[in-house]
Amino acid sequence: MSSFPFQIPWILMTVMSPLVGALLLSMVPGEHKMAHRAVAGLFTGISLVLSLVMAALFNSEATGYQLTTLAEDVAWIPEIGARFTLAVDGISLWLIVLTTFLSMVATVVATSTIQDKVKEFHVGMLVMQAGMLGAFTATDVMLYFLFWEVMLIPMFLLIGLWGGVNRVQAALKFVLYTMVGSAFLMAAILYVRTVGGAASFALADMITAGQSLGFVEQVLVFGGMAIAFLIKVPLFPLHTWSPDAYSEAPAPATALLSGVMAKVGVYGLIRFAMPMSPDAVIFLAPYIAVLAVVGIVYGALVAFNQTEMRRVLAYSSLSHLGFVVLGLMALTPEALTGAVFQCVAHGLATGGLFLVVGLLEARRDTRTMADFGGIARQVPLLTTVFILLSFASAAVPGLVGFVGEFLILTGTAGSWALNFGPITTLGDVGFGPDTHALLFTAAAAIGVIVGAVYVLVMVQRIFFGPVNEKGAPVADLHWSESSVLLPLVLVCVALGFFPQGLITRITPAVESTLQSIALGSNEYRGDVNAGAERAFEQARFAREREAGSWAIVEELGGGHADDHADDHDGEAHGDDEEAAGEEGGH
Amino acid sequence: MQTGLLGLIALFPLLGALVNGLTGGRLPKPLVGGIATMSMVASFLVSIAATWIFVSTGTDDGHGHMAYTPLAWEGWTWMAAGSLNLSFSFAFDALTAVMTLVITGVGLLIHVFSIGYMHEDEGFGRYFAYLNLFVFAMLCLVLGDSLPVLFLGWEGVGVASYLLIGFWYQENANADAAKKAFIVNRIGDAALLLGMFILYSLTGGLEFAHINAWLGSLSGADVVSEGATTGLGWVLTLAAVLIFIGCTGKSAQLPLFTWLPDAMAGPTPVSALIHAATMVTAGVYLIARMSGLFALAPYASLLVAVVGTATALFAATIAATQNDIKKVLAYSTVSQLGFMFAAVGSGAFFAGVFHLMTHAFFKALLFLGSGAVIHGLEGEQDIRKMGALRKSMPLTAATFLVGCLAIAGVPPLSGFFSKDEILWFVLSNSSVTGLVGGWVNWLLWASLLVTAALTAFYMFRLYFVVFEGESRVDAKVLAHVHKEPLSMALPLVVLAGLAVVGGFAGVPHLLGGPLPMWWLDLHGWLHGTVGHGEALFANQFGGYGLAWLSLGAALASAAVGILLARAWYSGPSEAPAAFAAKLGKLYTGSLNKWYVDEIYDATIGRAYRLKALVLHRLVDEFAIDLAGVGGTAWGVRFLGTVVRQFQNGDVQRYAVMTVLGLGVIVYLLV
Repeated sequence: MSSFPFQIPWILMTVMSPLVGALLLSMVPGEHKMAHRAVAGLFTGISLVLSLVMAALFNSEATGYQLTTLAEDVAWIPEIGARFTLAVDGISLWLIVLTTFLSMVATVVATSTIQDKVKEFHVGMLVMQAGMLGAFTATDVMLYFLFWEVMLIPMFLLIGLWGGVNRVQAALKFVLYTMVGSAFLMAAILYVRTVGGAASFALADMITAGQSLGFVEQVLVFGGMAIAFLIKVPLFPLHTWSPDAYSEAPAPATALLSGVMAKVGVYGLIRFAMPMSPDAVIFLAPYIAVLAVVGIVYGALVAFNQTEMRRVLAYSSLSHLGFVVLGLMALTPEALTGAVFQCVAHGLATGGLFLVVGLLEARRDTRTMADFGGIARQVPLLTTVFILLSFASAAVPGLVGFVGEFLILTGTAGSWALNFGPITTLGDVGFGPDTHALLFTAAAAIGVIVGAVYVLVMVQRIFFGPVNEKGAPVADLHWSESSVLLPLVLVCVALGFFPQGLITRITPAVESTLQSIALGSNEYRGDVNAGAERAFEQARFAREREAGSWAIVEELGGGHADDHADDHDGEAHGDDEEAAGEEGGH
Repeated sequence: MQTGLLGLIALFPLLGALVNGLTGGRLPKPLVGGIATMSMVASFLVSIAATWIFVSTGTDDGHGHMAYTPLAWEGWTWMAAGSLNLSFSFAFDALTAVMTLVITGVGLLIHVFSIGYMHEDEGFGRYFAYLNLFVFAMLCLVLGDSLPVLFLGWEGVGVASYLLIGFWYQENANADAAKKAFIVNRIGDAALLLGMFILYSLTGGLEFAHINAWLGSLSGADVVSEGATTGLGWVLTLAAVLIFIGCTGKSAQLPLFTWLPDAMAGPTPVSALIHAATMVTAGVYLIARMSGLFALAPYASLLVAVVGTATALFAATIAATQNDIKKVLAYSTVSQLGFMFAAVGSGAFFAGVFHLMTHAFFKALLFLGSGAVIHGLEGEQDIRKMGALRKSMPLTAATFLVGCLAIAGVPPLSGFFSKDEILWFVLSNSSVTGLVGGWVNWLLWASLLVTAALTAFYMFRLYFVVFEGESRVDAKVLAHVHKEPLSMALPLVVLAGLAVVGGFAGVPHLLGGPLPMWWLDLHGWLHGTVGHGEALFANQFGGYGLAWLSLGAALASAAVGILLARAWYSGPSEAPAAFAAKLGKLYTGSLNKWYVDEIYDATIGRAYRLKALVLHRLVDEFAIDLAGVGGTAWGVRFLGTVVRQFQNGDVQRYAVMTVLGLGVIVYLLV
């Protein structure tokens, strides 16, 4: 950057360009729909380009926050210690790019699906984008909260004003859920700031303060934040707003709502809730993981039963985001990396599917699958796009969805955090998978099966079988639609084979988050996990150390574990353990 | 040894798929077929080159075997996070060589056949794009050097199979069959994934070389003597069983076999390539690949052998009564796959792979022959409307007869050698004797013997009913039965040749083998890959007497089957009907495939649909919405009132803060 006379505030520009666009667009007079769309597309495009520049400038070696310039760290409300600070790290980087990319696709597709109040629609979309981008970049908790609200208000309006028959009920449900969540979130933030004695709202201060709280207080703080964030995700059983909202909102807004806004919740968990209350996370992890796997299977089962396309996708999202939450709770670098990656994958695949479904709905003015059937012959390109996105969402290897789910499941199977009691290795071997972790993995793997069922049923009902003569022939993708949907599909395929470019940038940030959780946990591990078998920890941690991955090794390897050196009978399998410890490192 | 050739093997079919897929069938048909076929030619030639290089690394290991150095291709880092470091790489050893040559060789022939078979179809371009995509995925499956790369191919072939079974998607039945195949396979895939994760947590790696080295460092005797039901042995058994469940899905074994007969909804060359010669044998390949694991998990191996034998017998009883020419062949495939699993479950990994290879030749031949018949009769598949076709399609009849002789195990055709090898290893497998008792060996052996007799019977029933006797073909169709075009005749002849001589690659010791050329000593060749696992089974050698007995029994059972079929079906005969009547329920049961589909649908399928419905109604709409959040207007209003009580001020504050915040942003911007 030294070649420039001044530092370019890339983050600020990325976040603000949709907002500038919204302002300008609201000033464009008249009823020139195409002009409105062009302005919206232009500023969304600028934001996309800027975010790609950011990704190019991102240093994949560094672990901490990056790219913050003077203009992105200024006093905001000094009276309460809130600063306007924007920064990027490996966790947020790709979520930002996902936001700008999916917004671009959605904005272009909206040309085909939104013919009403075009200007207002795009203003709402642009403000929402700015809110989401701000939420992904704010490192001041109060600023995050501001953006959180900025992103929600346009959503109410988009559902309430452009929605279908049940829009009022859907919007109300959305408002209620969100307001309840926001209240809890605000309460938790204020608790950490005041009782926890944080020096400011800056994330680092808040984390220090949160970690200094006692166990019960941490559980309260975590609970408050988790409710807000998990409603947004959504996690079973906090999800019932989502099928209504997803099916009532205009399709491009739904794509962002499910594709990106849900990830603001996931992001909040990783960024704020988990590091601020490590003891609570470690304690609650298996319980939340239960909800996650229930959601995975439940969502997939219920999706099978839906007659409306968007409701299928809504429940499928519930299922896929269950994987994400499971990945978070596994607390291993593989699973957490997978969770972040899965956020991107789900955004691309399901976001894309919502857009294509929106196109189908607009073409036949119906939402139910039964009104389609056999149209593959009429719309070969649309069919191909739809099937590829469906397979991506069903985690077929070679497509983007597999990478996230594979990393999550790998990390879950190797997790030490999911046992309700002391770690018990399978077959009492002393190393290898923990029994409870494996059960969680198995339950999630059932989701892999049932996840295929509803996807294939949907594909068949819409595209295969004899041609449904009731509706008019459906037009294939228009060039403007393919101009954004084909790149989307291409990205889904490319990331299935070459995901490492993303992963290398995610992992360091994820590992430093895990380190913060591990090092910040006070007494908890000492008390409850004391019985964890030493041999297991040694074998596993030796592997971790050799892989050079995780600083928790030092912390725990020399810590409590020694107190329980002879807790269990390590004689019988002694040789095997050594063999595993050594072999495992390669 | 590093070589980029391995990447090329898979690259050519991928390119073919891309060209034909992206042009969306707008190219002229000869060009489409040419591109697809040339990609297979290129892939086949590169496979031969790779095999040649691999063989040239051979040195004598001093124990009577040649030691070869596997070839490797380092692709790129696929996924690396935490302690996972996975690259997308290929490896090439003797087992891969056999598989690759079969896939590209037989695949090439079937591409050629398809040009003639599909020439009138409007989806010609789409067809070849899918077919090439399948070959690409299948090559990833056998070339992958780690479980996840294998899994990519494993699911990839599933996707290609889905697309090809449902190729004529306008018929709901075809789309249903495609969907069923994919979902049933997914059940197995989930188990396979789970087995993979156990191995990863245990060994810290997913590469076959890593896992096998790790397992090799354990002393087999220790694991087994500690008891296969406790400790590490138990974990290994669990992993092996999970992997085997994955195999039952892909390779259509009990209880997950039901998708394969339905898969016949696809074009017949697809059935030949995917659902007979290559994809369905992936499970056998995987177990041979994981031979080190199965050798340390004797109970899992026993399960493999029992399930394989049971499937072989079960499917053969169904095949004996079917009237759809492709259904007979489909159940026959399930049955023959059972033979292969019986072999690998008995530690005879070589015999399993040997039978895989010979089966690829004769079953592809039989399927293509049935394709020629169906093509000639304009889509007729019911054998009751065929007969005497030898007169109008002599070449097809002759090659079909060769296939029947081979699968029935008539010496010296290929099926004779491989099937005899399996029977002998099942009988002499001392691992089973040690775990349960010698009677299990005899039971498995006898079941396979009965299966062999049934196989000979139903195959020759098929031959006689279709090609001999009186013609029952519709007169209108018979008037213009078209002969096979060259593109269809050529693959038939080549495959018939392979079905005749393929067995000489594995002539057993008993008959003076192996023949003195490296490429005619399959067992010795595979030694480097599966030898370690085979050694752990320590097959007891019961002496030549027992071996001759097994051989003689196999020949006798083939003869019984063939002669019975000849007596009943070579001309008009009342005997079959009378016998069927005597069998009563047994006959109708077999005819109706023992009602397995119906049972599954009435139990699992019904439970699934019911659960999905009940869950949705009960949990979402009632419990959460009504009791919890208020999905109804009443609920919303009620909750709104409640929440409003203590949230009134908050909402205002949010609004104020939001406006304030926006102001600040605007201020900062200006």
